[in-house]
Amino acid sequence: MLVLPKWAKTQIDKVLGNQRRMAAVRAAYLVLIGILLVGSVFAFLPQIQAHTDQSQTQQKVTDEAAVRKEYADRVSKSYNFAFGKGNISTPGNAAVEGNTFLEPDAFPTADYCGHCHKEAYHQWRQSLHSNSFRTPFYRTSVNILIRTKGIEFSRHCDSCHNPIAVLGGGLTQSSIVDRQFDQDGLTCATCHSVQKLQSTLGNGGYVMGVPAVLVDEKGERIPGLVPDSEILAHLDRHSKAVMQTFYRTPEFCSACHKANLPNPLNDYKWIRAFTAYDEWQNSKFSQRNPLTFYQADFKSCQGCHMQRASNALPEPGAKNGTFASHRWTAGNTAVPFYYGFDEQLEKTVEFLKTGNYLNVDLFAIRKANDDKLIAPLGSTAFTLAPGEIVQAMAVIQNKNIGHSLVPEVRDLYEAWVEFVVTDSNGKEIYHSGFIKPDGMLDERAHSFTNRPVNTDGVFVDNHKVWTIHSVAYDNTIQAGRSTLIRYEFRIPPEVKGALTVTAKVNYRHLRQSYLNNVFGNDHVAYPIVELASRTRTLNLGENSATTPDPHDNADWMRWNNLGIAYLDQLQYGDAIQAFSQVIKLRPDYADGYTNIGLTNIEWEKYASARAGLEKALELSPNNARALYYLALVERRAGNSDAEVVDLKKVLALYPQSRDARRELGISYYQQRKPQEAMEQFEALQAIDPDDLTAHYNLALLYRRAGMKDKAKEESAKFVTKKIDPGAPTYSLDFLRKHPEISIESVPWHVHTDMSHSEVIGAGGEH
Amino acid sequence: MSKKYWIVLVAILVGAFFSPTLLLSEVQCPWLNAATAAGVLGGNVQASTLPLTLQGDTTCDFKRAEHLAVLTITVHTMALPSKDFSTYLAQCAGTAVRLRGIGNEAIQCVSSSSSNGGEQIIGRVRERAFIIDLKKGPTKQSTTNQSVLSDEARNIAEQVAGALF
Repeated sequence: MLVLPKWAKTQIDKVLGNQRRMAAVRAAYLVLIGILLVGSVFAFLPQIQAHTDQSQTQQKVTDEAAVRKEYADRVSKSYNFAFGKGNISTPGNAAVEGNTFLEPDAFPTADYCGHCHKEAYHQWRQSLHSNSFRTPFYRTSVNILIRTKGIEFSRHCDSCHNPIAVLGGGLTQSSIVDRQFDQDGLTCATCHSVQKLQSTLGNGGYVMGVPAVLVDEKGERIPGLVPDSEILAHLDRHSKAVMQTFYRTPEFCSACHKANLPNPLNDYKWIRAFTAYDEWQNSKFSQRNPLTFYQADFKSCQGCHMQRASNALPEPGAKNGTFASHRWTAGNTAVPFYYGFDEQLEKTVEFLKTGNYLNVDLFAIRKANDDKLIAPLGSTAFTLAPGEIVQAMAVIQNKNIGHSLVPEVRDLYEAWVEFVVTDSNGKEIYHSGFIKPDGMLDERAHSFTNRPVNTDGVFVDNHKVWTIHSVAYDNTIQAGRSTLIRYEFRIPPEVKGALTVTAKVNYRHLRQSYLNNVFGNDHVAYPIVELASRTRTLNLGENSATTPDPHDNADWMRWNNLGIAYLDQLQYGDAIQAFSQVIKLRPDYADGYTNIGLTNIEWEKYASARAGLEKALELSPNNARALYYLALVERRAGNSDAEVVDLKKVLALYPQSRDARRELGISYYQQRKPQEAMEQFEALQAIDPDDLTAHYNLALLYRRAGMKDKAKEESAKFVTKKIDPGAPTYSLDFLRKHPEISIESVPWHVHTDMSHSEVIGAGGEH
Repeated sequence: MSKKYWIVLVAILVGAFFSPTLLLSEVQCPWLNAATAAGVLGGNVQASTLPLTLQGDTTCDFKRAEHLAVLTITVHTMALPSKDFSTYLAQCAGTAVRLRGIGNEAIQCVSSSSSNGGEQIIGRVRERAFIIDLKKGPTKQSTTNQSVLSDEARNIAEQVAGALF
C-alpha cells in the first residue's frame, strides 16, 4: 500500500518537474525572442532615425524652397533688373545657390548665434564687419551713388557691405524688403553661409548658400533655425553646417578685400580699385612669390587679423582656451570712435602700434655743396655747423605688413610722415606733416596715399569711385618695400647745441576732408595714431658713432632698404651703390648680389646683371629669385633653352609665382610652343584672373588654335582691363591745378620750406 | 448741354477729388520703406508722405489704424544748424538722453510715466534735423515692451540718419 503512493508521488513530481522545465524553457525562449526583438530594433534604430532625419531634412528643404520661391516671385515683380533678367547682383559679383532672391529671414540673426557664442558676438558687434553697412562713413559715399545713378548701382558696393540686401532683392526702387538687417551688416550667417568661392576676382566673389546651422546625418544642410538642444546634441553637425575649410584661407578674404570698378558701374572701363589679396600674395608672407626682398614664415590674412586670444566670455568655438578674433582688428579707428566702442578702439590702436609693421630710419644727411652721403646715421662720424643747408633722408620700410601702406580705399585714409627739426630749446626749425587748426593735414606732407581723378582733372573727394578715370599718383609702399623721403632745411646761424630730428608715420582714419564731407566741418577731431617713429640728435659740431636703438635695423639692412627705395624711385646708379654697401657688410648675402642684378635689368643693362646673379647662385645654388632674373638675362642673350630651364626651376619651388608663369608663357610663345604657352597663361589666370599679359596672349593663342569664342572673350577682357592711354591727361590736368602737391607725383622729390633759388644759391640739389 | 459735356465735367470733378490722394500715394518716403516700417509696427501699414520741398524735406507717416500704431518721420533742413537745432531739441518735453552712433548727434526723449507710451528721437545729420515719433498702442507699454519699443525707435532713427548721410 505504501508503494503505490510513493510511485504516484514520484510520477507527480516527474510531471511537475517536466512542467517546470518546460516553463523554464518557454520562459527562456520568450526572453530570447524578446532580446532578438529588442536587438533588431536597436540594430535598425539608426537607420530608422536617419530615415526620419532625412525625411525631416527633405521636408525642411522643400518648405524653405517653397517660401523662397514665393518670396522671389514677389520681389521679382518690381525688381529693377537693370543689368539683365535674372541678374540680381551686377555690378557686384555676389552669387547665391539657386540663383534667385533669398529671403532675409532665412539668415539667422546675430542674436541667435550670440545666445551661445557670447565672445564671438561681443567681438563681432564692435567689428568693422558688423558695421559694414550702417556707418556714416560708408553711407555718405553709397548714398551719393544711389542719388546720382540709382540704387541698383549700389549692388556693386553692397555685394560686400550688405549681402543680405543684395541677395534679398532689397536694392531696387520701391523695395518691398524690410531692412531691419542693415544694422548687422555682415552678420554671422553671411560669412558662415558662404558655400564656395567663384574665383579671386573680388567684388563679392562668393557663392552664398541657404543658411543652415545644422546638417543631417548624411551631411545635408537643414535650412532654418533649430533649438539650442539640437545643436548641443550634435555639435559636429553644427560645425559642418557653419564652417568650411576655405574660411581659413586668404582666398576667402579675397572675395571682398579685392575690388574693381567694372564697366556696368562706370560706363567707362574696368579699373582696379584695390586688392589687398594680391598685395598679400606678392608679399613675403604668402611664400608664393620668389621675388620678395625678404623672407618670412607663412602668414595668412587671418594670421594677423584674426589672432587667437583667450576668451573672456563663454565661447563654444574656442579651442584650448583661445578663440580666433572676430574683431578683425586692422586700421579703422573711425568706426569704433563714432560708436563709442572703446574696447575695439583700444585694441585697434594697440594692433597698429605693436606689430613692428614699419621701420622708420633717419638714414642719412647730405650737406649742400657736398655730394657725399653721410650714412648710415649713428654709425658714421660727421660734423655739422650752424647756417648749413642739410638734406635729411628718411627711409620708411613696410617691414611686416602683408599688404601696402595704406591698403584698400587709400583715397579715404591718411597716413603720412611728420618730420620735425627742433633746436636745443625746442624751437621748431622745420616741420612737415603738421595738422592745421582746421584739422586738415599740411598739404605738402609726404603722404602714403593716392589721388584718383575724374575727367575734369578733379580729385574724386567723395569716394565717387564710378567717376574715377585716372590716378594722379599713388605713394603707397608695397609690402616689403621701402621709400626714401628727403627733407631739406637750413640750420639757423644763431643756433647752438644740438638739433633734434624726428620722423613719425602717422595715421588717421579717415582723411579730414572726407570726415568733413560726412559730418560737415563741425565734427570732433578723429584719432591720429602714431604708427612708428625715430628720433636722432644731431650735434652742431662733432658727431661720433652711437649705439643703435633696439628697434633699428642692422646697417646692412638699412643700406638694402635705401637701395630698394632708390630702385623704386628709378635712381638705378644710387641703388647699385647702396646694394654694393650691402654686400660689403654681408658678402654672404646672396640677395645683395641679386639686387644689383635686378637693378641692372631694370636699367636695361642686361650684360652687367649677369655677374651679380651668377654670384648669388654661387652662394645659393637654388635661389629662385636669382634664377628668375637670370632667366630674363638669358632671354636677352638669346639663350632660350637656358631661360626655360631657369624658369621651370623657379616654378618647381614656387608653383604659384605669377611672374614666373607669365615669363615662362612668354618663353614658350617665343619658342613657338603654343600649347605649353597656353598652359602657363591659364595657370597664371588661376593665380590672377586679371593679368593683362595672360588675356593678351591667350587671345592670340586661342585664335590660332581655332578657339574663336574663347579668343574673343580674352580679347575683350584685355581691352577693358588695359589702362586707357588717354587717362593720364586727367592726371596731368589735376597736377597742373595743384602745384602744392604735384611734386608728390615725381618719384624723386624733396620737401622743403626754402625757395628754389635759396636752395640753388646755397649749392643744394638741383 | 450735351451728354459728353457732363461726362467730361464728372471726370474732371472725380479727378480733382482723388488727385491729392494720388499725389500723396505716389511720393515715397525717402528715408524708410513701408516694409521696414511694417516690420516695426507689426503688420501692413498705410504709408503717406507729403510732397517733398525743394530741399527734399518732408514728413512720412506709417499707420496701422486699427492698432493705433503710428510712425512719423519728419525731416527739416536748417539754415544755421549750430543755432537752429536747439529749437528741435527743445521739443523734447521729457528727459533728453544722448544717443551715440546715430547721425551727427541725437537724443532719445524719455517721457514721464504719465505719457502715452510713445518714443521720440530727435537728431541731426549735417544741416538736416529729423524727428522720429513711434507709438505702438493707445497706452503706455509694460517696461519690457517699452524697452523693445525704445530699441525699435533707435533702429528706425539709425535707418533714417543713414539715409540722410
